[in-house]
Amino acid sequence: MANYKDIKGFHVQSLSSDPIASQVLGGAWASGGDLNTGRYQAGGAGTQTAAIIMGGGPPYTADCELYNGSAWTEVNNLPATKGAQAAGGTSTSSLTYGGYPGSGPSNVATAESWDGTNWTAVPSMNQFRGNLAGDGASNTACIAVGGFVNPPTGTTAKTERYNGSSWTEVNDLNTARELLSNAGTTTASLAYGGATTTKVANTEEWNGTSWTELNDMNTARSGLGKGGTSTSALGFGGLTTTNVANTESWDGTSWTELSDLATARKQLVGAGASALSALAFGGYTTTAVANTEEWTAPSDFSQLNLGQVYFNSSSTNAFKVTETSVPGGTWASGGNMNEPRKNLMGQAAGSKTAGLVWGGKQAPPTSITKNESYDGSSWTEVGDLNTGRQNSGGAGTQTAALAIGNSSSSGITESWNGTGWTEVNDLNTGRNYVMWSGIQTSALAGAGYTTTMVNNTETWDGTSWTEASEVNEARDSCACAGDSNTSGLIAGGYHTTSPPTNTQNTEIWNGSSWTEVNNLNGKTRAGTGGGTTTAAFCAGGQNDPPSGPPWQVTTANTEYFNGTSWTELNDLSTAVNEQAGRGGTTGAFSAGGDPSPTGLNTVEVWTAALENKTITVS
Amino acid sequence: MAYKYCTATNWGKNFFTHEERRQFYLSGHPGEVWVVGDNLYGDQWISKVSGAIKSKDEAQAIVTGEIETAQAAYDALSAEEQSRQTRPVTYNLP
Repeated sequence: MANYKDIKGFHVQSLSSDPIASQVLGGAWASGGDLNTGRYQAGGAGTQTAAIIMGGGPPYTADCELYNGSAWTEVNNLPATKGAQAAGGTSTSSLTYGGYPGSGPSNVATAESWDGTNWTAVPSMNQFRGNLAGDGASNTACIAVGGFVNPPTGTTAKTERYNGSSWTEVNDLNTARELLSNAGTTTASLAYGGATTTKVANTEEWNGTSWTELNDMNTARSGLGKGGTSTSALGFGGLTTTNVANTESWDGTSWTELSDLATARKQLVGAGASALSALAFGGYTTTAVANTEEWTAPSDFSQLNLGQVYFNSSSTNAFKVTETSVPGGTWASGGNMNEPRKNLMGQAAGSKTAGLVWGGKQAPPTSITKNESYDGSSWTEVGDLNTGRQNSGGAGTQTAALAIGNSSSSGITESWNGTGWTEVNDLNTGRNYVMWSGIQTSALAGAGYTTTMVNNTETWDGTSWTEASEVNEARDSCACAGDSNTSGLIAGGYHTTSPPTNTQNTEIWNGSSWTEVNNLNGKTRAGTGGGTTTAAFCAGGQNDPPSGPPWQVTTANTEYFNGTSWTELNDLSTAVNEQAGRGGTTGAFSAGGDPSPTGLNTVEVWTAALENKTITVS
Repeated sequence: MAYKYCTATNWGKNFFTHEERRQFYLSGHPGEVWVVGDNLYGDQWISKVSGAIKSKDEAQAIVTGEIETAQAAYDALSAEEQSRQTRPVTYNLP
């Protein structure tokens, strides 16, 4: 029988598991050797193959054990029983501090140092507390974070640092909490999760001086396990309203869901060098447990590769292809613009890695001429417009753009060559809130606002504007897409003033006329859009509320048009309207806008995901 | 996703491996109850650990019984002891 290569001339690779985006995503938990004594609320430190557990309870214990990668061995006890404490260091040099001694009303500030053989009492923290977090490099360099002080104080934000001889109080956490986790060192550390009066997902980074809020965990929880550093950490298990098994990894910017623990539990102990290798031990299910699980992300994995076709020979036995997945895309924060501004609808060109934004409004409310270019990470001031403008149209790229119209009575158009703006022929009908599409030499302007909403269409051939067939529904402030003066899309917009309502209508321009297609899901105006007539997006804007005024409700909604219908995508992180934006369904940016008295300078960037999809074969 | 249910005692190292975790769904619950993805690899794992097959209702009853026992133990604690813990809650197996 002929094989596939004989017929087609190339092999289809056979893989035992699907390609993944990064090493950590291939990780999984395997069972390790059980603790000799099941326990929770214990302290722990070390790595997957060399860890220590100390104390824990209730019932509170002084018992300590060492893990060698296979089994736990009893070692010398703490000087006294203790649970709900923090710990940091290694299996041969660790420190445990704070906690509850198992009797009496008060948490303690005491600290004990482990030298690999024995425990020695060392100076106490300044603030007694339990349910705190901590970590550190050794028994002479640890950090104590948050926790619970006896009533009436309750949760605390206090942070202290130990240098081998004394504790020093340093800057507080931004959010006081208990039952949180902490990974890292005294100079670079991450605090995450925990409980205030409720479970929280907050993440804060310590730079040796102060704490900074970063992106939240996906699942708010308390009593979670930890491992790693401030730039490569794991959070696993814990308590939401019930015990959970969720595992998340931190890459220095955001949290990603990974494979779950086999056994959901709270107040477990964690250890590990990074998000690639960690240990979960002990905890509470309906009782204290001795379970140990080992997290390993294999260094040998197949990297996601757009367009790769392969056969999965393991659990699914299927032919698959790695494709761009628009529905799996997400918005992330981008570099902030230098100038905050709003009334920016349409006033952008380019892409998420080579963008341009011009004009808009600040306070006091006059049009500005500022122009900035984006390289995918930061914005640079470039040549100003000749005429300031707000909520007009735009087309083109970062180095060849067109600014279309500038007010309800002016059709001033300017052309950008990458260095400076030049006035070119005006629109025939002066307007703003206009629909746009295309490039510098082949553009489209439709609908918009003069003293009322209009449906005029004009096409641009690189030199002048020519009247064309009208949009079916007059409106302004629409989402737009399209790549030339023969291909455009207009979606949503503001279409009546009495009563004030938005439309969901979508129309497509084919070079000679507009045709109605399926509606947007939301009645939306004043968002941004981009893409083509077969792959467009609409993000942010303002929606009609379910009933009555206030009728403008700023939204974070994102929708995707596939040439036939609109589908909801992942939201912007922040609701915004009248922002600038450009790009397509696989990558785009949204910059500035409202709501803000002076305009925003914040930017979000859309990136579609790569996804492995099964190929139907017959 | 379809599941099978069994009870098995976790003996520690190699009770389940990284490879197995990637091959099928697995989650452990009170009462040594395991929920196992219903595929060839899940079946092989149940055999490996000598799992005792249960119906979903049987497995749920074991888990709920364990949680209710833990709830009773919590309720018997003093107020101060309760303040240092949280009361277990019942839940449904997938």
